[in-house]
Amino acid sequence: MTSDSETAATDPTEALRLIPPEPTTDEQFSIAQVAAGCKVYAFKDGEWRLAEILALQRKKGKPVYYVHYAEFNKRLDEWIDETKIDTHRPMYPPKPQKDKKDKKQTRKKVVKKTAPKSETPEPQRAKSEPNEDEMDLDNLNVQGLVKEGEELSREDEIERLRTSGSMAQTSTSELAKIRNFSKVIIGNHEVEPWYFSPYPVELTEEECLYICDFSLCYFGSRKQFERFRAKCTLSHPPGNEIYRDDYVSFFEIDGRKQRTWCRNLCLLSKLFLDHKTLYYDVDPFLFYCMTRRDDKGHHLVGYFSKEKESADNYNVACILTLPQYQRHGYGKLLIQFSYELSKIEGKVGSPEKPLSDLGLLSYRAYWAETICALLVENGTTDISIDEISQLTSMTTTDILHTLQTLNMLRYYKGQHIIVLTNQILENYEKLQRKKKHKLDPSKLVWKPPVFTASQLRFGW
Amino acid sequence: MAPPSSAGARFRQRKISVKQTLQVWKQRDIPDLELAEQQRDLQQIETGVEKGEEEEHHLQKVINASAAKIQGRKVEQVYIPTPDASKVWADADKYYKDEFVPPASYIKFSATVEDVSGCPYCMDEEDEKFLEKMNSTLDNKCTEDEFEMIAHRFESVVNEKQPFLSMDPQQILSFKEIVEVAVVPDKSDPADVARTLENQLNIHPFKTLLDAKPTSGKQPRPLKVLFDMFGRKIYEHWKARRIARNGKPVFPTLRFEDPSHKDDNDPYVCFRRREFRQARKTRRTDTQGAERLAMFYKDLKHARNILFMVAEREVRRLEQLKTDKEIFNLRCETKKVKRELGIKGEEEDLITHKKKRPPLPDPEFFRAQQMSEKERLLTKERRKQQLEKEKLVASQRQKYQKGGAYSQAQPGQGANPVAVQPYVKLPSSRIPDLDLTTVNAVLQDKLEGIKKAVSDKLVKRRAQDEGWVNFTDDPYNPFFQIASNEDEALKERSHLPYSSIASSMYEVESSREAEFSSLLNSHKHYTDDEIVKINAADGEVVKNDRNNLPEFYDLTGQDRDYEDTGFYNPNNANQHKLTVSEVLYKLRKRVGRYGRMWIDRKRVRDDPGFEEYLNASDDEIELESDNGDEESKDEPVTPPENGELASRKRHINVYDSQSDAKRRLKSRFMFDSDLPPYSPLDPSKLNQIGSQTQAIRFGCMLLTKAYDSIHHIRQKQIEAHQQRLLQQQQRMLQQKQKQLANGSAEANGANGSTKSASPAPGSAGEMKKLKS
Repeated sequence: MTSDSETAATDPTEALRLIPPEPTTDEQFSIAQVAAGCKVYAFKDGEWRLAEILALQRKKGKPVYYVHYAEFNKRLDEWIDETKIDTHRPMYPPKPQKDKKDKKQTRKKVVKKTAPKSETPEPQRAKSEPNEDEMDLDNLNVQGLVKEGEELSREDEIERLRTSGSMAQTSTSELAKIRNFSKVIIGNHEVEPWYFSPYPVELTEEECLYICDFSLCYFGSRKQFERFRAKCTLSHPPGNEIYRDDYVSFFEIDGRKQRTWCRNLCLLSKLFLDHKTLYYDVDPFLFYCMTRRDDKGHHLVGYFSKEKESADNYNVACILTLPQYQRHGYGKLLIQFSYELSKIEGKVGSPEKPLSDLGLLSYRAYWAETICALLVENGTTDISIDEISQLTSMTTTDILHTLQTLNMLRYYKGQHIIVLTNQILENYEKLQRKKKHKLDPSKLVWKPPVFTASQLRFGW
Repeated sequence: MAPPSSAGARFRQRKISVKQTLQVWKQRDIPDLELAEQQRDLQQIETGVEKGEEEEHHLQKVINASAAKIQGRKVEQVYIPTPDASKVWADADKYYKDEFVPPASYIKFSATVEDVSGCPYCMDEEDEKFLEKMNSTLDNKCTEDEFEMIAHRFESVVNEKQPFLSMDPQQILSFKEIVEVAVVPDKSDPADVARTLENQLNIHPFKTLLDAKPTSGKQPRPLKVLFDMFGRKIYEHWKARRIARNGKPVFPTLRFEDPSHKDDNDPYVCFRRREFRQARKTRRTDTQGAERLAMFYKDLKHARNILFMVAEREVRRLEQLKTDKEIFNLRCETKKVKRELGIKGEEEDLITHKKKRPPLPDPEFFRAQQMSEKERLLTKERRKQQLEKEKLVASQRQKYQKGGAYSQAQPGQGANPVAVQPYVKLPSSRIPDLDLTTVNAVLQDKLEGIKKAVSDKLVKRRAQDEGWVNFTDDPYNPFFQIASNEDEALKERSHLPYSSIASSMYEVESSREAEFSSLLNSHKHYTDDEIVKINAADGEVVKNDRNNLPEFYDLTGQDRDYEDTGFYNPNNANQHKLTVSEVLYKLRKRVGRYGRMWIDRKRVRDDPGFEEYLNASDDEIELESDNGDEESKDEPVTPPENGELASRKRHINVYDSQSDAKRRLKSRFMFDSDLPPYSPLDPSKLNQIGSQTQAIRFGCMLLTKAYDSIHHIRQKQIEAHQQRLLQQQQRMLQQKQKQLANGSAEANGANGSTKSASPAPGSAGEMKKLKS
C-alpha cells in the first residue's frame, strides 16, 4: 500500500488540496524546481488534478515527469512533459522523510493502545467466536484484508508470502512504483502495461516488449522474437485441457511442472496487477488459463491462479483478464469457473484479498447475478445464508456483503428477510435477455488434484 | 467502522445467523416495506479493496452508480478507465501461422516450454548482421539455425564452466578449450539430449514432433562439422558480445536471488526459492534418503533403457521400411526392363512373398478368452435349465404335497442347490501375494518340531534315568525293529512276524509254528496263571511257574537262563506280561527245485548262544532226525540238549544227504545274510500311511498327556520301589545295628553310650534315642 495516498486521505490539509485552487496570474514556482516527491497540479482529462511527481528524466533534452494523480489508480500514472504542469498553482514540497516515520510510529502506538478498548474491529472478532454461525452485519470482516494499524512488518509479510498467498501489499521500492514498459505486443495486440513488472531490467530500454502468444516468452528484439516464433511449436497453454465449449477452453497448469511458462505468465500478469508479488516462485500454485481458439491456436484470454493448499480457503489467488479482452464478460467466466472448481471440491471459497478495483466490480457483479439467479429461479420462499453458500460455493461473508450492497437484506416485522427488489428483478430479466455466454459445468472434466505432503513443500 | 447512524439501525438487529432461514419476498408482494429505512450509507460496506484504493475516484464513481441503480435511479454506465489495449499489431500474421488443428478430445500436454522451443539461443539483429557478413565471404553458408546451435553451445559451456565469469570477463575460455567440451554432448543438459540420442541411435537429423521445421528448409549439419567450419569466426563474435555484457549471458535473463547478499528490496529479483524448514536430520533419514535416491536412480535408468530400446527398435523398423521401399522400386524397374526386353515368366521374384508372421506372443490366451466367453454362455444356459428344472420339481412337489402323498418322499431332491463354486474367485489384483506352502513343508515343520520335542524329552528322561538302566524297548523310537524279509519271493505280508504293538492285530499263523498261533491270536495279555512255557519241540506245556515266568517262548522248550537270550532282564521281576515283540527268527521263503517251497529260519541275534540255538532248532524242525557231528561238539553248554543229541547220535547216517544239506544251510546262514542287518519295517507301511505321518503320529503319542501321566505313574512306582528298597535297607541296617548294639552292650556294659556316638552313623544314634 502506498503510504502517501493513505496519508493524503487521512490528512485534512491533503484532503483540501484535492480541490485545485484558483490559478494565480504569477508563476508560483519555476519548472526547474520540480523534484521527485513534489506535488503539483497537472492537467489530466480536461481538468487540473493534484499529482505527485514520482520521477523525472530527460528525454531529447527536455525533462519528463512521471506523475501519480491523486485519487486515481496507479495504472493511470504516466510520463508528462512540463506543459502539463501548472506553475500558476501551488507546488507542495515533499514532507521530510524523518517526520513521516515518526508520524507512522506514533500512529501505530496509538492504535495499539486504543485497539483493545475500542468497540470496533478487534473485540468484534472475540465476540463472534463463541457462535461462529452468527455474523455482525455492520462489521463483516473481509478475510485477509489488512486493517488500518494492523500493517504487517516487511518481515512478517514475506513470511506470510512464503507460506501462502500471492499478494504483497507494500511496494518495496520507489523503482517498482514506476511502470517500466511502455508497450507490449502479445499476439496481434498492442497493449499498454499498467504497472511495474520485473522482466529483465535490460529489456526496459527497448521501446517494445514482444511476448509470444503461446509460450509467453518475452523478447526485446524483433529478430529474436521472429527466430523464436520460427522454432516454437507450442499452440496452447502447456497443460491439460479441462474444459471446452464452443467459446472458450480452460487449461490446468501446475506451477511446479511448468515453471518457465508459469513464470512468464506471472511476469505478464504483473504488468496488469498491482498487488501481485513475484517475490517467491510459482511452485505452490495451479494456474487455470482460459483460452479462445482459432486457426493459430489457443490464445490466452485470462487466467486465475490458485494455491494448491490454501490455509485461508481462498479459491483464487490472482485473477486477470488480459486488457485486450476486457469488458467482454470473460472475467465473469473466470470467476464462474473458479466457483465451479470449488463446487467439485465441495468447498466454499473466496478470492484472495486485497481485490483490485476492477476485481471488486467483477466479483460483485458475479455474486449479485449468482444470488439473484438462485433466488429467482429456485422460487423458494425461504432459504438460509448457509444454504446459499452450499449451493454456490460462495462464503457466507461474501453472500451477506452482496445482499447488503444490493440492499436485499431487510428488517421487516421483527425479522430479517431477503427482498427481491423490483430493480433487481428488472436487472435479472435484462441480463437473461442479453444471453451472455455461460460455462456449462458438465463440460468440466476435472478431479481436484491431490498432492502429497512432500509435494507441498516448495523448496527446490 | 463507525456505527450506523440512521434511525432504522436502532431497531435493527445487528447479528444474523447464517443457519437461520430467511424468508424470500418480492418487493411488490410487500408494499408496506418502508423504503426510507433502507437509505443507508452503502459505502460503508467493506469492499475487500485496499483502503487507499477504495477511495479512488473512478471506483467510487462506479460504486455510487451501481448503488443508485439499485435504488432505481437511471444512471449512465460507468467504467473504470484503463490504459489503451485496443490497438492491433498488423505484423502478427508474419509470426503466427494458421496451423492449429484442434483435436477432437481435450488436450493432454506435459511438454515444457523448453521442449517445444528448439534451440534456446535466439539470434538478434546484431547476430544477424554478423552472420550476413560472415556468409558473404563464404561459399558454404551458415544457416541461422546452425549459427544458433553454435552460439548456444558456447553459452552453455561457459555458463557451466565459468559461472563467475562476470568477476573477470577477460578470463573467458579460449575457442580451443570450449570446443573440447562443446563437441562432447553433455548428458545432464536437457538441450543436449537430442544430440546424445543422435549419436547413440545414429539418426541424422534427430527430430521430434515438438521440433519445428528448420527455417532454412534443410536440417542443420552435425555440430562437429559446424564447429570446424564456422566455429572460430562465430566464437570471436560471440566472445566480443559476452565480454561486452561483462561476462553475463548475451541475452538478459531474469534476476534470481543472489544468496551472497539479501536483496529484499530489488524489485527485479523475483521467483525466489521458498526456503522451508528442514526436517530434523537423523542418520536414519539420511540413509533413507540415500536409499530412495538409489532406487530412483535405478528405476529411472531402467525406464531410460527401455525407452532407448524402443527407440532403437523404431529406428530398425524405419530402416526396414526404407529397404522395403527400395526393393519395391527396384522391382518396378526390373519389370520395366523385362517388358522392354520382352522377357516373360519368372515373375516369382517380383512378388513380395508374404512373410510368415512370428506367432503372436500368446495365441492361447485369446483362445482361452474366447473359450471362457463361450463357457460362460454355456454355464448360463445350464443354470437356466437347472433353474427351470428346479421350478418344475418344486411345482411337482407342491402338487404332491397338495395330494398329501409324497409330502415327505423326496425332501432332498427338490432342494438340489445350484452348484456352489467351492473356490472364491478373486480378481487377480486382489489375490494376496502369499507364498504357498506345500503339505510336505508343513509336515516337515511338524516333524521337526516333534522331533525336537521328543529329543528334548529323551534328554530329560535320560537325566531322570540317571543311574538306571533301561532295558525296555527304546520307547522313543517310532520305528520298530522288526526284521522283514523283503525278498522277491516273500511278498505276502502275512508271513512276517510283527511287533508288540502290531501283534494284537496281525495274523501270526504262518510265520510262527502252528502251535503258537492260537496263543498269539487270542489277542490278549496273559495273566500269571495263563502263561505257560511250551516246549517248542513238541508243543507241550512245560511248566507254570510263578516266579520264573517266561518272557518269550523258548522254542527249545528248555529251561534256560534268560540271560542267554539277551532280551529279558531277569531282575525286572515286576514284568508279568507276555511280550511277543521280539523276533526270534528271520524267515526266508525260497522256491527250490521242482517248485518246492522252502522256508528258512534264522535266529535274529548273532551271539554265539543263538548260533547254537539256531543249529539246534534247525535240526529240530527241519530234520527231526539227525544232527551234525560238529553241532554236538559245539553244544556242550546246554546239557539237556546234549543229552538229547547224545541219544540221537545213535541214529546218525553218515551218508544221509539231508544232514549235508542241513550243514550247507547252516553255513549259508552263517555267511550269507539275505537281509540287511537292520531293515525295519515301519508301521507306517502297515498302517498304510506315510512314514512322516507315522512319525508325527508317534511323536504326538509321545507328547500326549496320557503318555506323560503313564510315565509319571511309572516314575512314581519306581520311586516307591526305591523308597521301599531304602526302607528295607534301613530296616536291615537297624536290625544289624540292633544286633551289634546288643552285642556291644553286652560287651561294654556301662560306657556304651559315650562310645557309640562317635563312630556309628548318626542315624543309628538317633534311632536309639527314639527307641529309648
